[in-house]
Amino acid sequence: MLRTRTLSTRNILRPTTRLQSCREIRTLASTYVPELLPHEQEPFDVTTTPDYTKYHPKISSISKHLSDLSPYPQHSPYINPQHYYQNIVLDDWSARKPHPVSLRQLAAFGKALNEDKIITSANFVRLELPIRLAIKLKELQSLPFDVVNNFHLAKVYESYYDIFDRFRKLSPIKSIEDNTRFCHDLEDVLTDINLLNLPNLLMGALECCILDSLPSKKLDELVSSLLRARISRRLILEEHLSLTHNFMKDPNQSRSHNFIGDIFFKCSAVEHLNISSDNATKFINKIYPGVKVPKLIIKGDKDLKFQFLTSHLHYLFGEILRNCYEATVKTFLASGPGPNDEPFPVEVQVINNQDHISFRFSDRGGGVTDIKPISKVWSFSKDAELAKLSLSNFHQLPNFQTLTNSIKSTKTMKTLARKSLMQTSVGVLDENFVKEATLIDLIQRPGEYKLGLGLAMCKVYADYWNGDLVLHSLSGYGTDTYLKLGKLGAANHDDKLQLDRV
Amino acid sequence: MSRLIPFRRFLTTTTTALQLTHHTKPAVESKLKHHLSLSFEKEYKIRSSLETLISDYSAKKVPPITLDSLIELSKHRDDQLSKQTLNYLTYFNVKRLKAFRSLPYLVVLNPHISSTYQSYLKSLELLLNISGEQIKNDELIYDTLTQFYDIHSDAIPSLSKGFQEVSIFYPKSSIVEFLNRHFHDKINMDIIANNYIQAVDTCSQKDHIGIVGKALHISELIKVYAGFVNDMTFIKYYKQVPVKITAGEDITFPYIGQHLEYVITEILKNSIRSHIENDRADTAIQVTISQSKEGSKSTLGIRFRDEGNGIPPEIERNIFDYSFTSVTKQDKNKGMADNSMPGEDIDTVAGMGYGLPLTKAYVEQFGGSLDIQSVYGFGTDVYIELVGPDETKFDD
Repeated sequence: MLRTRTLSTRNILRPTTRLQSCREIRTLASTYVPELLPHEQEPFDVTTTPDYTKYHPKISSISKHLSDLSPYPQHSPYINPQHYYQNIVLDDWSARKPHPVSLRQLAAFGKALNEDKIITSANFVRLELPIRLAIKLKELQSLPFDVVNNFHLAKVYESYYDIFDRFRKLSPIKSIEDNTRFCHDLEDVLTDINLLNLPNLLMGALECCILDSLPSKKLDELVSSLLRARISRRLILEEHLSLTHNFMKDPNQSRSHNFIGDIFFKCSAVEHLNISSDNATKFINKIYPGVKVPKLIIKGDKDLKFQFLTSHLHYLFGEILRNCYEATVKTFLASGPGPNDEPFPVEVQVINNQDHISFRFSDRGGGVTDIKPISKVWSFSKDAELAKLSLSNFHQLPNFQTLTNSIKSTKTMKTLARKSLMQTSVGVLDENFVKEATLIDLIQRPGEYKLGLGLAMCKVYADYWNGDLVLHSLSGYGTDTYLKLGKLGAANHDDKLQLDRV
Repeated sequence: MSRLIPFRRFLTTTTTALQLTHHTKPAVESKLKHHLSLSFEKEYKIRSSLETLISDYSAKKVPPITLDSLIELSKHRDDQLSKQTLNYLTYFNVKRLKAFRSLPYLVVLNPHISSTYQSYLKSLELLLNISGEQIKNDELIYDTLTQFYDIHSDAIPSLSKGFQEVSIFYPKSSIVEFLNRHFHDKINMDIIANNYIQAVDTCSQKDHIGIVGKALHISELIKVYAGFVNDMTFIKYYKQVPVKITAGEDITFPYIGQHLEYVITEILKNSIRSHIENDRADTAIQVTISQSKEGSKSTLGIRFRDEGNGIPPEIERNIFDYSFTSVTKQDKNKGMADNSMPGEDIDTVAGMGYGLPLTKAYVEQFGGSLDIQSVYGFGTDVYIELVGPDETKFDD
C-alpha cells in the first residue's frame, strides 16, 4: 500500500567516508526520507481469532515491554524529552569543518617535540573529537527511528553523545599539567566508556538484519562507516597520547628522517605472513587437535618491506589465514585422508605496486558454498538465520553479561568482559595499538566463539587503509582472497586527505 | 446511546500539557551507567517478539472497510464482531507504529511526536492483553475499546505542534504524506472501535446498525450543527449567522452520523465566520440538499453557499495543506486556512489548520468528494457528494 520511494539516498550513510563539506552533510541529513521496505503484503484473514502465539506463548505477559520501544530509554541521562531541543548544540558543532589528518602530517609533527607542539596537538584533539562525533550523531539522527532506537544502537548513540557532551565542555589546554589531565580523559574514552560500543554496534546491526529494518547494502555501509570513523578517531587520540608519552619521557629526543609516527613500523611481508601463519596454525590445532595444518607457500616479492601498523597487519593476515586453514582442514578431514596424506598448502602471492601492495591467498578448502551471494561473507549485513546464530554467540560470550548487568562495574569486571570480547574476531578494534601484549592474546585467542564477522572487520580495515578485500569462490575446489592495502608514506603517495580513511 | 463515546473528543483542541522531565546539567564526567535487569538473551527475546510482531503485522493487507462491510459486520451475533474489530484495530495500530518507526530518529525524538507514537504503543498493549479465550467477553472488549479511544483522543494538537517543530529540517512533502496516511488509518480505527461500541449497545438498534445511521435527516443535522457553531461565534463576536435550507428539506440518507457532524461543522465554521468578518452576518448561508438513487444505493449532494468574500487567491492553492509551518498571528486570521473558533484557543497550535484536510479525508473515506469553488470578492460554494451503502443490507 505504501509506495516505495526511490530517492537518491544511496550515499546518505557515508557522507564522511570522503571529505565533504559539512553543508553537504547537513543537507543530506535534512532531506533524508525514510524508505519503506517493499515487504510482500500477506493477506490478513480478519475473521480469525487473534493469535500471537507465534511471537510469544503468552503475549499479554510481555506486552508491557512495548513501552521499551519508546524513544526515551528508562535510565538514559541524555535521551529524554529535552534531548530534541538540545540538538542546537549539536548543529553548531557538526557545522564546523572536520580536519582529515594524513599520516605524513602526523609524522612531521612528531619529529621534534616541544611543549607548544604538545599543547597544540591536545587542543586539536579537544576540538576535533566533538566535531567528528557531532557529524556521526547527525548521521544517526537521519536514519529511521527503528534502526537507531534499537536497544544496542541507542546505546552507541548515547555513548557518542556522552563523549561529545563531555569534550565540547572542556576548556582550552594551556599547560602541560592541563594536558596530563586531558590525556587521562582520552584514556578513559579509549578504554572504559567505549568498551561496549563495538559489541553494541555489531549486535544492533545483527538485530537490524534479523528484522530487515534497513536494506542490507545500507546497513553494511552504516556499520562500516561507523567503524572506520572509530578507527580514525582512535588513531588521533592514540597519536596524541603517544606524543605526550614520548615528550614526558625525553623532551629533547629527535627522530630519524624516515619516521612516521610512533605507531608505525617497517614491516617485512614474509616475516609477518609467517608470524600470522604460526598463530593461525596454533588456533587450528586448538579446534582440531592432532590434525595436520596446511603449509603456507609465499610467492612473489619476498623482499617486500613497507611501513604499516603491525597490529592491523597481523589482524588482517590472521583472519584471512585462519579462514583459509580452517576451510582446508575441514575439506581435508572430509576427504578421509590416509596417514601419509597432507592437506593442500595455502599459497600467497605478494605483489608490490607503486601505491599499493596486494596479497592473493589461494586455498583448496572447497570454496564458499553456504553463503550467497559471496559478498555477504565480508558484509555486516547477514541473512536472518546467520545473524541469529551470530547474535546468540554474542549473548553467550562468557563474562560479557556480568559487565552489562551491574550498575557500577568494577575494573575486574571490565577486564573480564574485555577478555571475553578478545576471544572473538572483533575484539581488536578496542585494542590499544601500543599495547602489543594484549594484541598477541587476541591473535592467539581460542576459536569457539564464532561471530562470523571477522572478514567484515578485515574489509573495514582494508578500506581504512585505502585498500580492499574480496573473495572469489570456486565451488568444490577452493577460495581466493584478495587483500589490497594502500601504501603509507610512499615517495609518490599523493597524500590525499580523506576523513575516516588514511 | 448512553455509553456512546463522545465523538467530538477526537476533534477537541486543548493542548496536552507536555511533561518534560527536568534533568540536572550534565557534568563533564560520563553519566552513562549500565542498567540491565534481565540477561541479554531474555531481554532480546522479549524485544524481538514485539518488534517482529510489529514488522509482520504492518506488512499485512486487510480487506477495505466499507459502509456495506460495516453493516454486515454489525449484524453478526456471534464473536465475529469482536474478532474482526480486534483484528482491524491491531492491524491499523501496528501500521501506525511502523510508520512512526520509519520516520527519521530525530523526528521521533521530538517530544510532541513521540507522545503520539507512545500512545500507539500503549493502545497496542491494550489490544494484545485480550487473549483468544476472552473474545466472547463483550464487557471486557467494550471497556478495552473505551480505553483505546481515550488514549487516542486529543492527539492532533500534539502531532500538529510536533510536525511544526520538525518542519525546519524535515521536508514538507514527507510530512504531508505521513499525515495523510495517518489520518486515513486513524479514521478507520475510529470507525471500527465506534462501530463495535454502538453495535453491542442493543437498546438503540432501531435507527442505526453499528455505526451506520439508517436514515439521517440531513436538514435537521445541518440545523443542529449550525446552532452549535453559532453558539460559539456568539461567544466571540456577539453575532450569529442564519443558515437557510433552500431545497431537500425532507431528504434522509444512510451514513455515519459522526462523519457528517465533522464535515458539516467544519464547513459551516468557515462560512459563518467569513460572513461575520465581512460584515454580512445578516445574510443567510444557503444550503441545498439533493439526492439521487441508483439501484439500492443513493448519493447525497450538499452545497453550502456563502457570501463571505471568497478565498484570497494567494492561499487558495494551499487550503487543503496541513499548516504545520510557523504562521504569524496575523496570518492566522485569514479566511479558510484558519479553522479555529472561539473556545478552541486560537493561540495554542492545537489542531490549527488541520480542519480542511481532515474534512476532505472524512468525505473521501467511502468514495465521496469535496469541491470548493471560490468567487473571490463575492463568496464560496462548497460541494459535497457522499455515496451511501447498499440499502437492502439493512433488511434482516
